[in-house]
This record gives sequence, C-alpha cells and structure tokens, in this order.
Amino acid sequence: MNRMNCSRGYCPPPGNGCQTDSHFLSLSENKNQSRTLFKVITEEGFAAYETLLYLDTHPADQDALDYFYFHNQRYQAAVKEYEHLYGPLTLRMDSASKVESWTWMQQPWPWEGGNC
Amino acid sequence: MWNYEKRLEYPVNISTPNAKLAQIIISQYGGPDGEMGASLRYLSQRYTAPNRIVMAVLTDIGTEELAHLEMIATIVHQLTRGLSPEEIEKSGFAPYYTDHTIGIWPQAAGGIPFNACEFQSKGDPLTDLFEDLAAEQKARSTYDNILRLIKDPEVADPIRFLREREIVHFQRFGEALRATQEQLDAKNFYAFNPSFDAEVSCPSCKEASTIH
Repeated sequence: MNRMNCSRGYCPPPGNGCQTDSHFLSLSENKNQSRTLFKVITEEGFAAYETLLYLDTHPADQDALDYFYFHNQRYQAAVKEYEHLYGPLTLRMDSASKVESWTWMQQPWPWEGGNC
Repeated sequence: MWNYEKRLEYPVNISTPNAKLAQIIISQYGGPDGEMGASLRYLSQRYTAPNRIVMAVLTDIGTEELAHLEMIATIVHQLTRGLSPEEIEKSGFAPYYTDHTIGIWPQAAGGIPFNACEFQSKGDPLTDLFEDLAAEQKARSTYDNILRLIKDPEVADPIRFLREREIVHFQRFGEALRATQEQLDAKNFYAFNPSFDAEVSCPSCKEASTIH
C-alpha cells in the first residue's frame, strides 16, 4: 500500500486514532540524571560546533581536527545514551531501528525549560 | 535539508517573569540587528559565495543563528509566561500583548516589525562579507546595550553567551574575507564583482579537498 501517494502527504489508514497524554512520560522522572547527561550534551556539542566553525577557515589544522574528533565522539556518545534512556533528541534518517510508539513529543521542548 | 535537535545551544532557565525585559530582548528576535536577520542574511548570501570556505562559513554560522533565534524566543517566552493582564499592563507590555498576547512575533524593541530590508544579499562577495562583519558588531553592541539594562543573572547569563558568539563569528567572517581577497588582485580588490563579472575560480568538487 502506498500511503505517500496523496496530495496531503502521509495518509493514515482509516481508524488510526491519536495517542493520548497518558502515553507521555512523567516529566519529573529521573530528572537529575537526565539533567547531568543533558549538560554533557550541551558542553560537548558546543565544543564540537565551535571547532567546526574554526575548521571552516582552518581546514588543515591537525590539532583542531583532533579536538573536533574527540569532542564530537563524546557528544555523539552522550546523545546516544540520552536517546536510549529518554527518547529522541533529533529525528535521524540513518536510524533503521523499528520503534513501537512515536516518542518524539514525550520529552519537554527546549522552551519549556525541561532539561537545562 | 536541516535537522532539528530538541535542545538549546546554551541553557535558558528563567524563574522570574519580567515583561519589561521581554520588551527589550524581543529586539534580538526581529529587530534591525537581531538573530532573524542574521540567519536569513547568511543563509541567503551563500549561493553567490566565491569559494567553498565562504560557503561553509555562511552555512554554518547561518545555522547557528537559527539556534540563537530559538534561545531569544525562549528567553522572551519564559519572561512573559504566567503573567496576569495587570502585571502586563504595569510593565509596559500592553501594546505588544494587544496584538500578540504572549506569542512570539518578530519585532524590534520599539515595535517595528521585522523587515527583510534589515539585511542585504547583494550577490557580491566583498560587499556581503563586509556587511556580515558589520552585522556581527552591531549585534554585539545591541547585546552590550541589553546587558546594561538587565540585572537578573538568569537573563544576563545566556545574553552574555550570545554576545561572545558575535565576537567569534566576526573572527570567522574576517578569515572568510581574507580567503576571498587572496583569490583576487591585491592592487584592485574592488574593481569588479567577482561572483558576477569574472568569477573567481571556484574549485570543482573534485579539487575541493585540496584547498587550505
């Protein structure tokens, strides 16, 4: 069945209801642990992004390449751990794993002040 | 194609609402030197960039400006949430409230709506890069002005982070300008538009890995 062959984008099959709020995790659950991990993501992600900008104008700087690699690895590892424990931070096209429910909206949005 | 990451570039956690501050800080959302103009300026200019270094700098700084736009919106949102109409009136936020309640809308501190005339995309790399350098300084001055007006450390902290980023971006744009000028005649940098009249030899994709 081709569900994308529709001028309105994705077409759900008939009778597919919406999830209710009761599916959502309690926001207070494991808050301290998730905050600590979130801080690591923010710090390592910033170190990686800042070095990325530097590398745009200094593409041959080996120290910067090593620094970027180091922090980007730590950033990726922290994101992976966070996503394993709490749900997705970003929707990646490279994720091939099949999921049983749509968890994208379960964790707070940044402006809600959930994790930072 | 962009990917959204469900986090702020730098944390914003404001516990005391203050609509007076929101009225000031909204300027960095949709004001003349705000983050909306910054992101649209760089992301629009990159198509006529003269080399791959400038294309990368414009794309990556333009992308970071979108993250700054989200930080500013979050600051304004957290400064206005939960306020009563009486508190809003007392803090001088009533004119904004009348049109937008406490929704986020791009305007300057004085109420002037966002306008694409606040930035240029001239299709001339030297013109554009000098504008970008000036834009970073103008935004830095605006953040300095904001920091003189706010006392709440929960608001000042993320604003200081954003101010620092203007300085880093200015440095990167300076390097991008230098990379562009190195491809031109040093005795006559401004004789023509290198992206239109006589294209600077932008290396093909095969050669791109060799530029340093």
